[in-house]
Amino acid sequence: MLQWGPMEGFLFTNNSVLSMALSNSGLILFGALLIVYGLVLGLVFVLHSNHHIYRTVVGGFAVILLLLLGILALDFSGASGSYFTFDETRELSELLSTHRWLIIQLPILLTISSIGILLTYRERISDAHAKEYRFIVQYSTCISLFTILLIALESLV
Amino acid sequence: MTKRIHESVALSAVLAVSFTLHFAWIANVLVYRVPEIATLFSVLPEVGPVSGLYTCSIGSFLCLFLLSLLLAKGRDLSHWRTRTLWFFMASVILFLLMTMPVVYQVGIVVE
Repeated sequence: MLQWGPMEGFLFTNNSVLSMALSNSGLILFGALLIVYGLVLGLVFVLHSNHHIYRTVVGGFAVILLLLLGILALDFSGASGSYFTFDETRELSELLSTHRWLIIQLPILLTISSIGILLTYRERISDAHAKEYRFIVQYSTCISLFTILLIALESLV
Repeated sequence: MTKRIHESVALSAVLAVSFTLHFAWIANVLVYRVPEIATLFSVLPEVGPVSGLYTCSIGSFLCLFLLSLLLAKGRDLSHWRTRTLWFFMASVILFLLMTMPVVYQVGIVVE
């Protein structure tokens, strides 16, 4: 089985870089999620000035939703690591010792509502009367990113 | 020609998410406090009550979205925007607070 050492690099190792990357696919999805959130966060704050940008934002949210569902699917299938045996998963679930399982619902739901708002308003999201909905999209993105960072940092506690 | 905006869809999505967040934290508290509900929520026995919590969230979101859509369709919703915004913001903050283990795990012992 592939082992990760404390200072193992990608260049001076006999292991295949691809197999190292694929052995922790959950981590790759999580990294990609943070990158896409970073991009979308910048774009949602210019929705009022550029009405064509909503297409890019909807695309970004769709990618975010797929990545979140992918992370969830990996966790459920137990493919993200050998420590996720069914017994331990059940024990974790019963105790709810970590609230990561709970707060992951927040970015999923907020992303769905943001997509709904943007697909309803389209170019007119930049109109004055859509101010409240624009704010909801911005607020949702900030809270979702905060939740994702909270999930990432919680493991350090 | 400008296209008509179906504001009811956007408003229903926001309302459904807000109510679903309330359902989710209440269901979590019940699962944590009542063992019978925890057993009831174990839709996938390998995963445990979390599977039921997720199913409950998905189900409540879809039901509430359709219900709000039916109620709001074709109505003037301009005076609902600000109220929905505040309700949504409060729901998100309340969900974050109520899903913190220090909050939902707290217990009072009466002697």
